[in-house]
Amino acid sequence: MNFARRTAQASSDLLLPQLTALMAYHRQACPAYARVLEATGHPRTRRYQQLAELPWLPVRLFKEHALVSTAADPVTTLTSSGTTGAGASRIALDREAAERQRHMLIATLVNLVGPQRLPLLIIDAPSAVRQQRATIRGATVLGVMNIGRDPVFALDEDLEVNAVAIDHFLQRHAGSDFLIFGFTFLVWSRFYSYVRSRAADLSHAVLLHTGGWKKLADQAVTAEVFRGGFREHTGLTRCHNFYGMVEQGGTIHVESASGDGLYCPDHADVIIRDPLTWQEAAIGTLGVIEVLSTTPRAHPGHILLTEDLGMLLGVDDGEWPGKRFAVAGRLPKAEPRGCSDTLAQGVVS
Amino acid sequence: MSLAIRLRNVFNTVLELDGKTTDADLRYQETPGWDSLGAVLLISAMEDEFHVQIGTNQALQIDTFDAAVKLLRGLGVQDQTPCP
Repeated sequence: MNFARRTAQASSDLLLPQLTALMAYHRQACPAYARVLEATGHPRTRRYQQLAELPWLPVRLFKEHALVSTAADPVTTLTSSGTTGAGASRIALDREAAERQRHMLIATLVNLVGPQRLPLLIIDAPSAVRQQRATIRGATVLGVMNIGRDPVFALDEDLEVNAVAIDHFLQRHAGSDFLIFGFTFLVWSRFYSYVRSRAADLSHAVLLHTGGWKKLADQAVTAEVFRGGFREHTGLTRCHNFYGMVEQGGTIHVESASGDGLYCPDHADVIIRDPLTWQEAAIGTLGVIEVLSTTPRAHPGHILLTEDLGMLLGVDDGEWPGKRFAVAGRLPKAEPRGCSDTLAQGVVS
Repeated sequence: MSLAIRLRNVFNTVLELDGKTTDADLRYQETPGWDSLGAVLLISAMEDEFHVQIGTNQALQIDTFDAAVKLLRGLGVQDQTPCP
């Protein structure tokens, strides 16, 4: 599948008017956001020529303040899965915003895997969707379930391998395409060890995984080791990491099958900024990741400066058109709060 | 049995409906239980009951009972005639 379809310039040309209009919408709908814009040199009258000129909010704001752009009753408040709660973002969603996120996530995944719902093996416990739906972990599992059929959970409630479930799933779907989804740390620490020991054939699988790499990096498991291990021992070649965050739900940046970087979906973009000058960092230079998305409607999360370090790897020169980038980890002072970091701590300690 | 009755049985089971709600009142995000998880479970149950495959985008269009009936008819599901 050709996941990213536009060149970087075409994408930017398309997104600039949409994001400018969205800024105006949030300025109207969220007085606190309007005050931030006024105070940072972005009055109503200002015009923009490039995405990089648009004002961003630091994601940390959503941990400290309730920024809301909807008068409707929130249907849910999504939190990042921080264990303490102190460092968690709380994002209010009304029904329309929640549906919009769901549709954007599904459209992105359909671009990647096609319109047919394939059998789905979820590397998580069944309670991930039943009890954790208000966390980004549960919401992500549930979101991915929309593109799968006959979902099977590969782990038990203690997050240990459910060998019977996995074996039965692989037998049942042997020889035809199927999906595997899970958080990166669980996929590696639970599922990979098991399928490797069983010499399972995953050559028909598409693996989607997400979440931080911190715990794996501590074990010297890099993206290359991860992909190479699956390829060599299970025959799995279609492996896609994706990057997203609760403050911009429904927007995920997806790694190409060849692993040459993360690519933005149709409705989003990314800018890497030099932390000293805040100018756009050159290709190959480490900086702070800014994410832009036309999805957020119930909170002003459309342009965010993340607490993640990253690097632009290239522009219109990879497997797909558009920018390709890599995430290099958290900013040194940032608290860990991502799904897999939290899971990792919970599981390992 | 008519398609609508079989489908309603699927809805009743998956969404744990009491049967008092009319078919016309069943709506995604309004009927209790028919939330994003309910929607995923409902699609799977419909596939099992009617032996059809529903695509991702088709599934997204099912937001009322009537929409589900129309989709199933579009996929070739017919009312079952009783055996003589």
